[in-house]
Amino acid sequence: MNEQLVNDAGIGLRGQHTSYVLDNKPDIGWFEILADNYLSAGGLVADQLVAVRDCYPLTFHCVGMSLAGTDSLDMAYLARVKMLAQKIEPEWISDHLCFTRYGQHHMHDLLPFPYTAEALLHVAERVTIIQEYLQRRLVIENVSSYLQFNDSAMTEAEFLSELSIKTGCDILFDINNAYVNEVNHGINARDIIDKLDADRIREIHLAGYEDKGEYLVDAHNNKVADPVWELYKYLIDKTGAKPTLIEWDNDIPEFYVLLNEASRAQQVIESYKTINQFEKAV
Amino acid sequence: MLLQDIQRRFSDVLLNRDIRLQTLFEGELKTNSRIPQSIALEIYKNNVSMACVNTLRSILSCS
Repeated sequence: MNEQLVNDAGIGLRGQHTSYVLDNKPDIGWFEILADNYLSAGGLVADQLVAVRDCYPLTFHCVGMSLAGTDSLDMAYLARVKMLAQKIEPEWISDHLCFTRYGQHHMHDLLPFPYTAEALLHVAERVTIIQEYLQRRLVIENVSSYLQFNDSAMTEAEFLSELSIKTGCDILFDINNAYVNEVNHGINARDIIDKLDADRIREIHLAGYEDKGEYLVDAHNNKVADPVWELYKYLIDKTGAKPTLIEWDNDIPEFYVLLNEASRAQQVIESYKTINQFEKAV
Repeated sequence: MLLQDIQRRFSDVLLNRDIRLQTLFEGELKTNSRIPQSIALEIYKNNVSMACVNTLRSILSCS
């Protein structure tokens, strides 16, 4: 793994910023792309992606594996992900702990499911197949949710931890998702951080939510909120520096806004490193 | 299989295949959330929580 990527903040690269990035080569540790947007890309878009990869470490974030889905795995989709990965050689590939399809119908969302022993076996089997097919370890993200099932026998954190043990997958911990769930469902985000195995957390996501008054929506349309920054500092204190990504998917601002957010994350990382080095020296 | 049954009924609710099903489905959901269940289902129905929806649309357009 690229050592620089281990220690730095990155930005989710969106299409409207690609030319700016290639023209200006901003000082940022790495980029993550929504791989699904590039699965059929050719011509200029494909060339731009290769050019970005030549300048920065790159990771893939996917939304179409439907890891908890009960439809058969979409092998045509996975084949396209694999082909793109062979071309771009991302540091890793991630997707979400959810289902996105049922009856061959794309549901346009990251949908929750009951966290049961049955579901754990089912998801673990699918993750194992996908990892063997892609010939790499998957990184799996916790999701924001707006409802919970009575049948759940474990928390999402427990489910994700067990899944990691069973399959060897790593964890992408989205702090904004955890905070949205804390406000909406009363699930204490610090408890989740305390329970997750720090060594399995491969990546952290930070994003902005939309405050609806009674509840929050994980809209990716705002700056990272103060409570999420506080949770981020808490997490870094527990786990050490981790690759940290700024995500922004709706009402996307100019690139410098994202760069400022990434700089703030980098400051947290640098503070941790400084304190850690001082403690080692003492 | 519980997981498949939940997903089938969840998708039926989201796709408005059976309005009566929504009431039945709500009985399977925890009631301790700050979000009323009907609003939660509307969030999913309307893809309000859709940070990835543009990506999924791109999947549909190219598949």
